[in-house]
Parts: sequence; C-alpha cells; structure tokens
Amino acid sequence: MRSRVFEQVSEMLERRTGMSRLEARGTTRIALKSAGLDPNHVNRDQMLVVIAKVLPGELLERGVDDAHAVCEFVASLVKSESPDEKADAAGDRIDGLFRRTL
Amino acid sequence: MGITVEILALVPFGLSSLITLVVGIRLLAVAADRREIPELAFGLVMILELTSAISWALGHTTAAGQLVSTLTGAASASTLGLFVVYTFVPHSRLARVGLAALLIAAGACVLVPWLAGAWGSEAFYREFGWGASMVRVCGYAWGAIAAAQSRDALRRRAALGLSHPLTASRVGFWSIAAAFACFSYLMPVFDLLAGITLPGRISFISAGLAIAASSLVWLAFYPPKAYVAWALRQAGQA
Repeated sequence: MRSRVFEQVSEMLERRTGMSRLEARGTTRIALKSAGLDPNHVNRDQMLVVIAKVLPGELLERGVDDAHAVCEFVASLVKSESPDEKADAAGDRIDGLFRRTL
Repeated sequence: MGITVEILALVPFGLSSLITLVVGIRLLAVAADRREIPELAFGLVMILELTSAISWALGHTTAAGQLVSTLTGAASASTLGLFVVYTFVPHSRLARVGLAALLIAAGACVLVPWLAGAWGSEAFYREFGWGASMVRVCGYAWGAIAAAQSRDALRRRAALGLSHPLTASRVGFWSIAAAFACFSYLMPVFDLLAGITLPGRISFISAGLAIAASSLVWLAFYPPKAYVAWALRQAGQA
C-alpha cells in the first residue's frame, strides 16, 4: 500500500498538470526512486525534499511548462494537509543504525 | 610446513576474534543504552560467531565442543537472518519466507545430529557439522546482497541530504564484510563436499578472509575519526 503523501502528491499532479492518473503516479514514483525513497514508506518531510529538488526536473522532462509553480503549489498543500508521519522504510532503519554507531 | 601454516593461521584468527569481540561488545552496549533491535541483533551475531569459533577450535573432537559450536553457529545464523530482515528488507513478505526457511535449516543443524546421536563422533564435521556452516553461508550471502542493494538507494538519498553522507559507504563495507564471511565458511565446505582443493591451506585462507571481514565490520560500525573527517570533506560537509 502506497503512503498517504504519495497518493496526495500524485492526485494533485493529476489535477494540476493534466496528466493521466497513471502518468502522475509514475512520475511521482520515478522522482522518489531517483531520491532512493520507497513510495510505500515515504513521509511528509522526505516528500517535500523530493518536490523541491527532484520533481521539477521530472515534470519539465514530461513537457509541463510551469513545473516550478506546480511544485510550489503541491509543496504548500503537502505542508498544510499532510500529517508528519514517522518514516519506516529500510533506508531509515539503516541510516538510523549507522548514525547511532558513528 | 603444515604445522607452520597452521600456527600462522592462528594469528589472523586471533586478531579477527579480538576485533569481533570489541565490535560485538560495543554494539551490545549501544543496544542496552538505546534499546535498539539492529545493534542488539548484530552484536549478538558477533559474540555468537566468536563463541562458535572458539568452542570449535578448542573442542571439535569432543561432544561438548561440537554441541556448543553447532548450537552457537545455528543461533548466529538465525540472529543474522533476523538482523537482515529487520534492517534491510523489513516490509518484504518474501524475506519473511526466506527467514522462516533459514530458521528451520538452523534448527535442523542441531536437531538432526541430536537425533542421530552424532555428538562426539570423529566424523561429525563431515557428516553433520558442515550444516551450521552452510546456514551461515546463506545468511551472510543474503546480507551481502541486501546491503549492496540498499547502498545504491542510500547514495541517492545522501545526494539530497536525506541520509548521512557516510551511511552508503559504511553499508558498502558491511556488504563486502558479509561476502568475505560467506566465503570463509563456504571454502571448507567446498573442500569437504565437492572435493575442490584450493591453493594453499584452507584454514589459512579462511582465517585471512575472517580477519578481512571483521576489519571491514569494524570500519563499517566504528570508522576511524581520520577516515570520517576525510569522507565528510569529500562529501563537502566538514
């Protein structure tokens, strides 16, 4: 099951860019993959980094002209509407383990 | 010549044991302090590995030595499997099936010789003892692959500031260490079961692999300050 913030961002992309549901979800998934994140276990703060640093490039590649404006809009909605959940992906567990022993 | 090689093999074995002991105790101390499962699991793996190796070295011809070595070896493989699943693939159903298979195989390593009344037999390793080595081969191979796959994702995360800049390389060290540990257990089994004789004495090569593995584990969990400073400078974070 995908995380709530993944569903929310994909839905907003679909509405704001005219992409199909499949395209919007695929774009979000690709952006998360380039960031080393898992769509099932991404949290709000991680998604905000992806929206700021990765998603604009992915949208421009797909011919969305106002990619930066779309991303700013999506980010503002994510900030106001998504609860800050604790991430529980493998990457978070590994990073936690190696940070604690440094 | 044979005796010289055997004695020389004790040096890397001793060093490897010392590093394993220190890293294991430090990880268990962190686990006790912070109540974290991964540190507890891998700290236990290190201590169980050491107990298994020492009990085998001191008493592999006695029933007690064989029993303790096999029991701790099987427990080590099981705990390693739990560590790999909990840390690297926590949400995978397939991984849980793999873990169940590993636990069953580890249990069989103790149960089968017990049912056959083989403890204390001279042919114990040839007939049963290799089983505990093979479950560890599987556990370490799995860990090496899972860690290598995680390393790529962690590198991408680090580029965006979503993970510590050194985590990916430290996971890489752990992955190579697991691969070395896998081969150090696999070589004597190959020698025994397949009749493949590798150049040099197996014990010496296995001991060399063991010290390489334990050194890499130390580097992964407790990297020297000079290395940390250098790596952070490379990542532009010092």
